[in-house]
Amino acid sequence: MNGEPLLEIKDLHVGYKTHMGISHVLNGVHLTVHKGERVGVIGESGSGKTTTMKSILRILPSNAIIKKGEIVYNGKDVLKMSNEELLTIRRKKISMIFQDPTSALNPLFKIGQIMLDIIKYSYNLEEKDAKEMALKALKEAALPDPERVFDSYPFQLSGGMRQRVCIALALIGERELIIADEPTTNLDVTIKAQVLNLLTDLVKKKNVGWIFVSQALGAVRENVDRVYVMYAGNIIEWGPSEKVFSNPLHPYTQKLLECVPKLTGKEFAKGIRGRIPNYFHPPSGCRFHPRCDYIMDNCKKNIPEPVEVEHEHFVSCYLYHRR
Amino acid sequence: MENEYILEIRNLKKYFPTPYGTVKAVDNISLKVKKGTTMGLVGESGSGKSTTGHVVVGLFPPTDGKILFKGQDISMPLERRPKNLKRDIQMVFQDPASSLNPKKIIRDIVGLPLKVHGMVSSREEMEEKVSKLLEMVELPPEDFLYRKPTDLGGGEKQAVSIARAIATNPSFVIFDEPTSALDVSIQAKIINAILNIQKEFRLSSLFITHDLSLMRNISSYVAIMYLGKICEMAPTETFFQKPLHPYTQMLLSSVPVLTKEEEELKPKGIKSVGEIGSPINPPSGCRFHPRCPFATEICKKKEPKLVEVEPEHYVACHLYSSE
Amino acid sequence: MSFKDIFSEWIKTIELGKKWYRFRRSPLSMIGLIISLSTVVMAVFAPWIAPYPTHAGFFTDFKNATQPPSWQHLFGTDEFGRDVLSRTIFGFRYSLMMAAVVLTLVVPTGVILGLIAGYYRERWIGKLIMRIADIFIAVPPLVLALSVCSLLTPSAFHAMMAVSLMWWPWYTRLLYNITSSVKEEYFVYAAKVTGASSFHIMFKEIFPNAMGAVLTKVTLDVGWVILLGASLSFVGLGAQPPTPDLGTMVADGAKFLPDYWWISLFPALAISYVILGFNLLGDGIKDAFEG
Repeated sequence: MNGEPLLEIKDLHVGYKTHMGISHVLNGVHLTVHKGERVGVIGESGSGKTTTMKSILRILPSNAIIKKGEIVYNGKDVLKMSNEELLTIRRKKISMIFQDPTSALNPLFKIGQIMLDIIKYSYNLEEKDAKEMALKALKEAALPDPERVFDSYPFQLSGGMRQRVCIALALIGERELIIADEPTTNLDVTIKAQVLNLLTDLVKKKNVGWIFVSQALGAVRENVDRVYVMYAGNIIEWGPSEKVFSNPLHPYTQKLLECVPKLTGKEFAKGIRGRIPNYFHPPSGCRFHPRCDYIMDNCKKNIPEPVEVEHEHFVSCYLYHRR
Repeated sequence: MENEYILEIRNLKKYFPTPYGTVKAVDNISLKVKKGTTMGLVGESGSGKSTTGHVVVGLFPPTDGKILFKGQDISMPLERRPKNLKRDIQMVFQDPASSLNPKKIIRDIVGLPLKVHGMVSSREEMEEKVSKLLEMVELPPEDFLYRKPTDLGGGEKQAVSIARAIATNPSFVIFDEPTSALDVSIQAKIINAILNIQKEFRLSSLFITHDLSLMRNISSYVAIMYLGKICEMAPTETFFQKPLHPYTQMLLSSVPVLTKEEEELKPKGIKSVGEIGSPINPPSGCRFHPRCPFATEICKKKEPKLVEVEPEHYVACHLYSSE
Repeated sequence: MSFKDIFSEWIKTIELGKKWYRFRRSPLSMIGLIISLSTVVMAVFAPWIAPYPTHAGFFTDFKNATQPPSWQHLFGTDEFGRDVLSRTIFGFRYSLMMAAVVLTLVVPTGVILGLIAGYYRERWIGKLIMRIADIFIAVPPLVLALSVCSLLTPSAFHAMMAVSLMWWPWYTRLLYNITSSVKEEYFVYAAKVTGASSFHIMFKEIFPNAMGAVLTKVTLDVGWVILLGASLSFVGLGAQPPTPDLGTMVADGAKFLPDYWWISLFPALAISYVILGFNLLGDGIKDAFEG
């Protein structure tokens, strides 16, 4: 990808203070999104995906500590921004779509009211213009009969429609970056496909950047340009989606992909031994080493530097240092 | 002569009265499970797949229809079922968090069926048998026997659920989406444990899932449900070679996949459209007709019958009925 | 399986160590514990702690009547010359006994009825139990207790019966709510599918999940039962003189207000002290169980 990055996360370390001590979750996460680029982040639950996404908008819970790192958005560090600048970003530039469309919409207000409030607040528009904007957004989100949806309460809509409303809300105005954290996990298979198609189409059409965070590996593969693989608070592999999925390099990525049941009925792996590390006392060096089949001395001591194995396809693993 | 089928469901109906109308969760379905095989029951929300499982195991009595287990009628409420049937039919539930009593230790949870059916006479004997069961699901007994479910991860909880279900050496187990709440690498472990157990115990089972790829790997027969009806039923191999029902094709085309080989299996040129109807007020005629690209007048009026289009391959669609 | 085994299992499910760790970290909970323990100690060892133990019963010393608080009589003396401090210490004994008797009657009854009502929610038995409980809950507690006590001869025993009669529905309702939700958990389904008896499901699967809530309510209720008992004594329907009941003492002393304020003030403060203690303790237990 060429050109200036829209968002660049550099060496982000985030932990959480708890009564059991500090849990060191993010351990040097980096991520780049260019304008109009679709980026996927995959990893299992507890790998730090959501913490990373929340850091971008600075909506981490109050016990989180950002120990180190930069989140550069359009040349400015989000972590050092004033409240004013941050609000502008949250209102107009970056938006987020959450996993659960039910709790994302306040059940006491009609969809229209929710949308109008947000639009009026963000853009200082008159009621009439705001409504027009809202209806246009609903229409773009392929909601049949936008007027009726506008006048409905969230509980009157199905899960798929609610998530479309959330998408409509996320894409209102001139957004530059959409962060979708497991946007389709709670939806049915056929509805999931519809919602993802819609999201991809809209993102392409409006040329906005998109970070698609998910455990659904197939869905990520089919919908993004580049993908980052996360394990235990580290980015361990990244590159063009097609390359990462067809030629996974990191032992973890390989194992993870083998674990997915295939439609062809081909045998799949028997899981990955061990479990995700305890963040209070994470393993030294490469955090995957206790579960890795190819462990070497170096793995326990240092975090491997990334290596570009093929064009734009990087991996953080000592297996590729020898060559 | 011994019965070829371990489970036969004939014209099963299960309606639930609600303040908004009657939910026709399962509406006149018939299916048979051959001894030693696994029937995959696939569907989305509102399809009635879980309700079918709950009725078979006896949690709700059927509204109408018959369930035969080894030729014996078991369509009575649970209290009136003979005790030996309760030993022979077991179930693994969907939600690992609520499947195990948080106040009990694993030994007592897995040991309960043994105790209820008088299969152990002392605490020592129970511990010994429970240890064996835990080993079978790859949980080291010395680590798990005295722990509580609250200390366990989702995959471990589900493994305990499976150990409990096979404790009485049943001949039939219903798996209700046992891995839908788990990460892929953990799902792989659990599925492998299930596959091993099925082989070892020569278990027949009903495997309820929404995941076609998973179903392909675990079951020998498949029944696809939509809004309380079975729309297609076939041996797994035949089904994947030739999915016939338009809904099945839509479902299959909506599955996100990881490899090119898998993409070959997906029907081409079919897009997921429309919303899943409501089981309270399902569409007339064929319940899929509002979403079906091939719908004609007859589909709106007449409900298609399940017909055998080739040996063992049943479809309920006017496209394939000879009339 | 005997009840003793079941009981020891219930105790195990509380996981005292972990709960105590959480409890200890809150200063308010610890204050509540100290207050509650101190009242229990005073109640149990009253004859040894009270400076004038004989003053608890029939005793008159008109020479020393209505003395204000002094070093000799820290809380002063009443109209018969009895030491108010001694009588207050003995008062804890009667108050706590009242609470103990009432709660041992009420908790098992209410809990068992609530379990049955919740478990058989759709059947007539469950509905019947809850409707009866509703009727008792609908009548204001004090009115109910007053009317029962006035029908019978006023005595401490009858007061306890009256309070028990109006108290059980609260436990029934608590258990009904917990049971109704817990019985839809898959682990209860699993027990049913495997053929476990309803008795097993109610007492060994569901009840352990309600123990925290019951324990919390019992602790909080100690204070409230004492208050209600004292109210009944205050209006003359509870313990009769010369029993050193805190409510009776407040009522007696009230006749001599405002001149001899110490006769009623100290017993009244003692009531507040007990209630405060058990409320703080109850809150602490609740937090320890919920955290």
